[in-house]
Amino acid sequence: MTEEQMLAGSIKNNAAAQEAFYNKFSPKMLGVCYRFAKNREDAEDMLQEGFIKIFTQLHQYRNEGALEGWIRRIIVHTCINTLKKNKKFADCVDIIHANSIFIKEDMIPSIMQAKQVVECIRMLPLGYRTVLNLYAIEGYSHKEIAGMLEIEESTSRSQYTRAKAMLEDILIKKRIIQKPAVKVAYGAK
Amino acid sequence: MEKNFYRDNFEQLLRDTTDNFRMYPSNRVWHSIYNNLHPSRRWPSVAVWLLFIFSVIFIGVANKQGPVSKYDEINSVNNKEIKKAGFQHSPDAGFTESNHWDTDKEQLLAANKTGVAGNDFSLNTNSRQSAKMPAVTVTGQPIPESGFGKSTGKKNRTIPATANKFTISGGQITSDNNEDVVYSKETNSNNPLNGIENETDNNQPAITVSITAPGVHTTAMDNSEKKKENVNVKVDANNDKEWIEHFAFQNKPLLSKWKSRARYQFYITPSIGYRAIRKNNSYSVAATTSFITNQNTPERQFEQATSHAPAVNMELGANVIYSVSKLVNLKIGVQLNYTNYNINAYELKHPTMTTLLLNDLNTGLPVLSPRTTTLANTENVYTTKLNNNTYQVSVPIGADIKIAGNHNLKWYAGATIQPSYIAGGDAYFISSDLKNYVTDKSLIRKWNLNGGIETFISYKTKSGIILNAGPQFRYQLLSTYSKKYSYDEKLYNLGLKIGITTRF
Repeated sequence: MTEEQMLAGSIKNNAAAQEAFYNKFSPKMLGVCYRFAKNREDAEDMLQEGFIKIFTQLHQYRNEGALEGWIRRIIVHTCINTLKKNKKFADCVDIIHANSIFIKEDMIPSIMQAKQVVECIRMLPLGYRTVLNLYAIEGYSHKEIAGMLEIEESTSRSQYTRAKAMLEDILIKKRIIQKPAVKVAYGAK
Repeated sequence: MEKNFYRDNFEQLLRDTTDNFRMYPSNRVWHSIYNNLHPSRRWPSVAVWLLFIFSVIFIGVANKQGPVSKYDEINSVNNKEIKKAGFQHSPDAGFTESNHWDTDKEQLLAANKTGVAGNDFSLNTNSRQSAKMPAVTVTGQPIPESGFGKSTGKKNRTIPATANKFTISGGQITSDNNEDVVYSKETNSNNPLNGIENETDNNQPAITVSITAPGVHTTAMDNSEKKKENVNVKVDANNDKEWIEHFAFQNKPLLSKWKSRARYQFYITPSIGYRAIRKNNSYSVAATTSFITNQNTPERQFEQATSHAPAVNMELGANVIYSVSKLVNLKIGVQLNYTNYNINAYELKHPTMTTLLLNDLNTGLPVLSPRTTTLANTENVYTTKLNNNTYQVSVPIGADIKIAGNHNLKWYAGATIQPSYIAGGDAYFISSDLKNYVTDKSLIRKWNLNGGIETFISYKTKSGIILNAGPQFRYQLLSTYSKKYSYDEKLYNLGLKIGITTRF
């Protein structure tokens, strides 16, 4: 079944087309949800809510841009809305406490490749993680993030800077990335 | 694995890496989406539920109604007459003999038969009775008119007490003084069956008495009505008590049988609840890797490192109890449970990173799940009290066995198995290094199984209400948490169950 057929069938509420549509996009979208969520169960709840929205709003898709991008935006917004329902979320986003968090090397799980990076991202505090996900991976601007999370734009920037520093630290400790070699100036006296 | 070298475009690295990340959702997600998108296809299951609910309501309503059919009305009248003649109705045994048996027996038989005959119905509908039986002569003591007054029910009938004998033959009743219904005064108190004589020669032990209504004179009944009333009663010629019991059994509606044996009970059980902790060995410890700290923490270390305390639990429920015999009762019901225990912990000023030791169900290996928390297990400035609790809905199914007692005071022992749905709760888990607490409700198992044993004293009050009280021990057979968590936690509580039981 082609993407067009899946799209047309899903708009007509055809169960087979909807299932094919879901099977095609759900693995990647669950990965997106997992980066935002506290655990897999929460991620699946987000995915479920997101896909219900997608299927009910699919007729609004105008073939402008990639379908996957449109789906992804709905999923991300669903994740953010779910997180915002959590009372502690606002506090998590506003807190500035990077120095109080110390990542031990043995805390970092030994897992493989993409999942390794995702798990490292998920080690970040919720506020940091959300801003980093939105800015670095989903490509939203700080202004958009501030609107979505109902925080100041400057808060979003500072959260991202600290999140990035912390994540770099984790990735370096885990040897997923390496620090650049220090340039040595030869001949200097 | 090829290392990614540090580069300025950090965001690009993240984007490229995470774009390849995929996870496969469980079937539950698609089923939920499908049900949401196609609600009409849920109708079969909804219909089954509705049918079940309406059935329960119908049974409940039917049980609350009195005798609704003429058959039931007659049975009710007969029971009253039997009681009036000196018999007490027992729900379990049908009838019990009173001290007045010898003197009132014939009166009872006559009252019973006449009372049945005086009503507008036919027992011929009972397939166990035969309408085609030989003619018989029935003799007995005259019945006081007040007794007939009740038994004749709606219609005003006069039954002469002057005749000495009447004969039933061919569906007609004749008397020796040509009155309509007569009772013979020939009674022999030594033989309780003298009131009934079989006119046939075949010496059949069982006699069927057939009374046809047109022979009975009634002031309200017109001869032109031609309305027949038939009664067939099977009598054991060797034992009249058995006859009475048999009659009562045959004429007892099924619903009444069920109702006489069934009761419902409401109860409350305040208790003290705590937990038993055991290492969850459902994963391979040998396969663990070095990054996991304190992975081999035994239960003893857990107990030493933590400070937990019992707390007050509560159960509230309703049961339907059915007596299968005088000694054994079966019961089933619905029960709401609140279980909890306390954790002494400390609150941190700032969140800290910690990890939770979990079991990866896919690989069978333990994994450290990173978490942030503001709760510490090690001493700190701000103390706090956490509460691990669950709200459960259970369906207790079990039995009680009578150990001793008399009619009013009985001692029972019982046991139940309780499939339970955990509707909610709070869960605080100790971190892998035993230094912090982490909350994660998603690890609470949704379905569980509990077992309960109890012993209680039941006291029957004069009003018929039964009061129960006794100790109960309830134990959770499965862990509170899913298999992912590294410890098994079994809840148990010891409480006092107080109940009130009454008939339908």
